[in-house]
Amino acid sequence: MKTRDIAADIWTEILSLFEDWSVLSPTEQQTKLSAADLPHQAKEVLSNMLDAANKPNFLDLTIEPLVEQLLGKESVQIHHNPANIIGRTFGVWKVTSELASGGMGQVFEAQRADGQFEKKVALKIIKSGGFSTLSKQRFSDEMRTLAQFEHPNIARLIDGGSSDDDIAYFVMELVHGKPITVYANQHQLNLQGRIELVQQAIEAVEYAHQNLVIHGDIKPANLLVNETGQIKLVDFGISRSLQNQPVSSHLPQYTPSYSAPEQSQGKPLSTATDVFGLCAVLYELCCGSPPRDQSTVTTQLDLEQQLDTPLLGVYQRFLNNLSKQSDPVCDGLKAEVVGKALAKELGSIIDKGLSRDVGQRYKNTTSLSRDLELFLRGEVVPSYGTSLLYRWQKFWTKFKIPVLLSAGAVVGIIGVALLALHQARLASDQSAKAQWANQFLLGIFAAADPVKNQQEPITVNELTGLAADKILKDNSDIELKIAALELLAQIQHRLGEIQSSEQLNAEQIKLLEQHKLSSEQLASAHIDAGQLKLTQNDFEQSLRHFETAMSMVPINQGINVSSVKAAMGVVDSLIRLDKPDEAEVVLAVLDDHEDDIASLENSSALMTTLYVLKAQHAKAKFDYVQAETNIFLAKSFATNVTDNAMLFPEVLSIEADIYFEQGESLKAVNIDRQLVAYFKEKFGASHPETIDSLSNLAVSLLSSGQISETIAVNLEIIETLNTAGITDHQEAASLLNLGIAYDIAGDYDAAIRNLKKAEAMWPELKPRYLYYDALTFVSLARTYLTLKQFDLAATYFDKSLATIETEYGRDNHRYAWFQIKYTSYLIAQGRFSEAEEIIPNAREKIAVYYAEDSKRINLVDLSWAKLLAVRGEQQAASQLAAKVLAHLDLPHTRDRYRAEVKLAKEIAGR
Amino acid sequence: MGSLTSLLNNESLQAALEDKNLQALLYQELRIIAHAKLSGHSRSHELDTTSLVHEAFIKLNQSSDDKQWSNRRHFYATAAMAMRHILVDVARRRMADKRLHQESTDTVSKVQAQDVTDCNQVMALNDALEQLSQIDSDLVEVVNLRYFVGLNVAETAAILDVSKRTVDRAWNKAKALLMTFMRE
Repeated sequence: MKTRDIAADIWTEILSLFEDWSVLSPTEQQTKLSAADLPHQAKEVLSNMLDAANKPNFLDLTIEPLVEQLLGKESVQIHHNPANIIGRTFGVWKVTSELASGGMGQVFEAQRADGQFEKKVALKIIKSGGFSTLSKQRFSDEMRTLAQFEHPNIARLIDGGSSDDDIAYFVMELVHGKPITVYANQHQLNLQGRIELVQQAIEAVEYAHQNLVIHGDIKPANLLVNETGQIKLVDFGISRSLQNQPVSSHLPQYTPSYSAPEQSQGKPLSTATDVFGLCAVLYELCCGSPPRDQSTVTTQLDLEQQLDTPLLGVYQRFLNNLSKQSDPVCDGLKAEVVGKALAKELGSIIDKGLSRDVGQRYKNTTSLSRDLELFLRGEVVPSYGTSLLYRWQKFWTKFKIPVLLSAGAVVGIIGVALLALHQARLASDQSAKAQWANQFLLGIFAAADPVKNQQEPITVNELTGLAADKILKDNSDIELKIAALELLAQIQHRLGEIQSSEQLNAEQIKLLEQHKLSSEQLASAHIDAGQLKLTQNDFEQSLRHFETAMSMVPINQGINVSSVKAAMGVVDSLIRLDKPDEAEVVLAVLDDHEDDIASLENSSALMTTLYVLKAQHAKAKFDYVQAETNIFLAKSFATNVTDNAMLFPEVLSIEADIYFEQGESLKAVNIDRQLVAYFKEKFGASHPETIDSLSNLAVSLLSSGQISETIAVNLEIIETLNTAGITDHQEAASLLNLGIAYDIAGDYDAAIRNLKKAEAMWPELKPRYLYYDALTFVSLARTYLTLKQFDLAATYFDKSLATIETEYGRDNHRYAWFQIKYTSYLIAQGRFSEAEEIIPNAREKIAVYYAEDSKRINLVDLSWAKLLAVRGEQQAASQLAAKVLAHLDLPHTRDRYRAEVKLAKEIAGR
Repeated sequence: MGSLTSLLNNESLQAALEDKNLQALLYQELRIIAHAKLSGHSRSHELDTTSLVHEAFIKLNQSSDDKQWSNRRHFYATAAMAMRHILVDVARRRMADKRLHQESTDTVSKVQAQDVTDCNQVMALNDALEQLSQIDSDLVEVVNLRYFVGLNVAETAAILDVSKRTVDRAWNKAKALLMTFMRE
């Protein structure tokens, strides 16, 4: 052992340095460490110590479960083994038999000792691991909490107290029921029946959350179903109030199979912790086993390991379970129905709820419940299929502010906000409202002060969610309530919480309509609603809202911020709906009033938007010269806007789009470089926006055939992510792009190495986008084909087709495109008739989405030309290849499609 | 403390430890004593509880000499050491059994897998503590009290007669060192 060689005086120094440095940030620690004058071994030990000090540690957990495991239960439960409890009397209750032993206590069946009524009850006593002050405190907290609850799906608290010899107990409604999973199988419930049970459970949990209580141990055994099919949530054993999480809240008093990662990491719990538990139960109800195998994660030393082990996606687990047994995975479930649901919407709902990162998970039960409801009704589920990877799917506002707040501060802020609301109510005028809004915001940012509140953080999203709840329930001054809702909706919008922002906005509109208040306010609420719809690419709905607003504040009856915004919203929606002529009518009115708009407050932002719209309009009419002029002006206005860091890049990316559409990918590359520089300076190298802009740059570079540059940028992305310790879709996407780029460059070893890495990474990431798996498989197949490793090529083509079929079905144009790629293998193997059958059919499907002169259709035709050539029909082949060359052998495409252009030239005989 | 180690290595004690009930009993009693001594209402029984742990040792090793607990700290140090040794001993024995057992079967159940991890953890921690004692035996004492007896910072500080801050600092150092040793 190397540490044994370290001398005593060095140890003294190590320990003293550790003490001094352990309070520093990891970066500062590294700096000090590299500068320190110490032997190499000592440095390494010190570095490991500092590293260990920053991580959760099993020594911080109680030893009890370990002792229980090694020496048996009796050694920990000192004061009462069941035999001593049965027959005893607690208060008026006589214990008759033992029911179960929960995480925090033993449960017995009991009845009234005085025979006043026959009813049987459940009596719970605290597990007696020494009766520490903390356990006692928790126990009485739990009692107080439960006593407040009155909900049909939560077991009721009847009584509680402590015995002469200091044993604390409480008495609950006795639930004669089965765990939810057992019930579902015994009653052979179908998928809908199972989800409906979970919906009941969600209602109970939601009720607890509204009372600021997190259950913290949601699992089948705590969700009992009685004979009437009613869910009863039991055992708030480790429930802790949101207001009052104890510092050492990381005692292992949860059930590992169903517990959220933040629980095992000893991090603060939030409503999202219970979302995890609920989704874990739903996971088991759908695929037959819990998300985590109990054997892998029960000891404390496994804590760290557990953090590194991602959960298997529910669909994959379902397939695994299915392959292990011929019977259905769960009684009453039809494999094909469940499989289909898990492969798509339902699977993505469950996987989202089980995200390791709290930020990726549903924030609360409301949003989970809404998605399940949508799924049951067969409607589009918002969480499904949203990818932020590429430019065309990029949302306008997805800039999330990573501010954490202490739970205590949340209550403080809401308190301050409500107090201010009360004071403002007395004055009830505009300035008071403004003051209230200011105080509210001040409160948020004061509480977000990282120095003051390092423990128990909660996100601004959660905070505003809580505030919204309170405000909605507050039946006071309606105008103030509306103002508060507007403010919260805007904050949520800025945080990228589109759905909850929309909910608040809808409430606001409802109130305004009910109370027939000023039409200007209603117009502005509709403008907000329209903008929210725009960010979700729902242009029909955004148009509806903007038109409603415009009818209330017509632009030709007065130029003000609302009327201008409403008109601009209409123009924007119409252009995006590809109705440039209709947009032109409204745009002309705005154009006439340009001077008036320029004199309004905040005119720079408005003028930027006006010129962006003009540019978009010109682009829609294919007038690229005009579009470029307008976007140039928009840029000059945007530089004057100081309060929105995202406006300028937004304008730039529209400029890039304009060039991109003209096929000028070199100019697009140039702008993408500007964006990268802008974000690096504003937000730093590892900020999501910076990474995103880098990935856009990589895509532009690849399309413009700048292969070595593409490789460099992708390597930069991967390195940045690795340095920042981030593992996400972006890294896998970069590996994929890197593989494709190396393949084009002819470095097949590097191509395969990177594609293999990507292949291994995709299944680890949440949410799952099978399309990228398929893309990786097909890229590997093509490289193997080039290397004439036919067996591997065949395997990967099969995998890619199977994956794309699972995701989109056989009729989809993407499946057709992958089939086309497959034909190059078939042709290489001399299987001409199969290729001949595939190509025309696939072309038909692809042509629905791609123009005759598009690159993709030409690549399809190239495969046909190749088939013609190998069959000896030289003339037809050469003619078709010449046509393909006319579309592919262009300055901005020939480098991207080197191999294809070369092939086409050969066939064409050039 | 050396006498305790030799006591625990004594053959008859080893034999006694084979009996699961006795292990649990000894551990239980040590715990009761340690915690009861700290809670206010059992102050009057201090003498009794002290003799209780005494008795526990006597029960397990009839031949051992009468021990006098010179002070509170000594008592706790001994109790904590005893608790640690019991756990390590059980873990060691169980792993030995397992190795014998594993040669006859090749499947390992979930419970067994869990058990192996637990045992390995206890043994690894014990080795790390041995290593730590070469560097700073005071740190070992803090770990014994905080982890094996389950005392909090204030309680540990009271027993060792130092400030809470001192205990906290020692605890942090010890944890970091132990994790480092355990990873080696």
